[in-house]
Amino acid sequence: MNPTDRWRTVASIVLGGLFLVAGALKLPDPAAFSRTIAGFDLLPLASVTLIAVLLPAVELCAGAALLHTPLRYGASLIAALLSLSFLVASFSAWIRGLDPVCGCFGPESGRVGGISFLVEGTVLVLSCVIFRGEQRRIPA
Amino acid sequence: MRGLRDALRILATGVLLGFAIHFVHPAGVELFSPPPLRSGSDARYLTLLRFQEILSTGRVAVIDARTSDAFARGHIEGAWNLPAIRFESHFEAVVRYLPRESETVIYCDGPYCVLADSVRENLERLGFGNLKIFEGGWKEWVDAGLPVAKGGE
Repeated sequence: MNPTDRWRTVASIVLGGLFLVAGALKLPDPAAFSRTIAGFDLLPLASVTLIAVLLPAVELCAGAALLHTPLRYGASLIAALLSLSFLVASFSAWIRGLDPVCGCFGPESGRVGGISFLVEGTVLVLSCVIFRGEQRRIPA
Repeated sequence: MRGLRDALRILATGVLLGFAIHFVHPAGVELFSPPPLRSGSDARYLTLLRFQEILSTGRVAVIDARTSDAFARGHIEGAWNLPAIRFESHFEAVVRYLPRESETVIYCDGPYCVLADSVRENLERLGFGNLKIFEGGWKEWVDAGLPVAKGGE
């Protein structure tokens, strides 16, 4: 394993762990998570509960897939898309002065702001780096 | 192509897992309904009826956690404006009207806005107790045709 592959494996383990923890913390209380999503005032209220039920399970699957090398390519694409949508939603709520709870790691997470932007930005960068590396490694 | 195919498989597995968990353990939510309100299960959140009962005692301070602009356009009669996103700069002006013993009720736009929660967290940190949130907020108050005021601080 060359140093780039080793680095990508470490990044995938960190990112996979983050997604597993994030999904597991949201899973037990979909009611609270649905209110968190509603606090962003971006989606129709009738769709919010469905997303609160499905999103943690998708995060769990993406996290587990990131830990499994053959699925890393696809999992990093999902991780990148999820973190990009979290970042856009957070920024949109922040500029509208809504001050919502981030919900990144369950309903008790802090509010949207510097730390949540930093976490979401880091996750996005890591996902893109892993995706790009896998794209180079696996021929189309 | 392979990455996209794998991504779709992982997504489909996640969706199926989400549905499976929901049907085994519904956790009190209905999939296509708005999020459940907290006033039914958490005593810190008030229904309109309970809020009106507390108001009728006269021993309550009402805080509007929305922006100053929204407050100036209309607010619950007798409320003070303590915007969540300008908390520090407005706190000094409002603090003398906040009772430490009797109740303080905070509201914002509607049931899912979180500005009232943000103000409550800040006031709790500063040692205030007896803080409640009128969950229906400004929207429910206006829809019920109850008295409103304009302008002011």
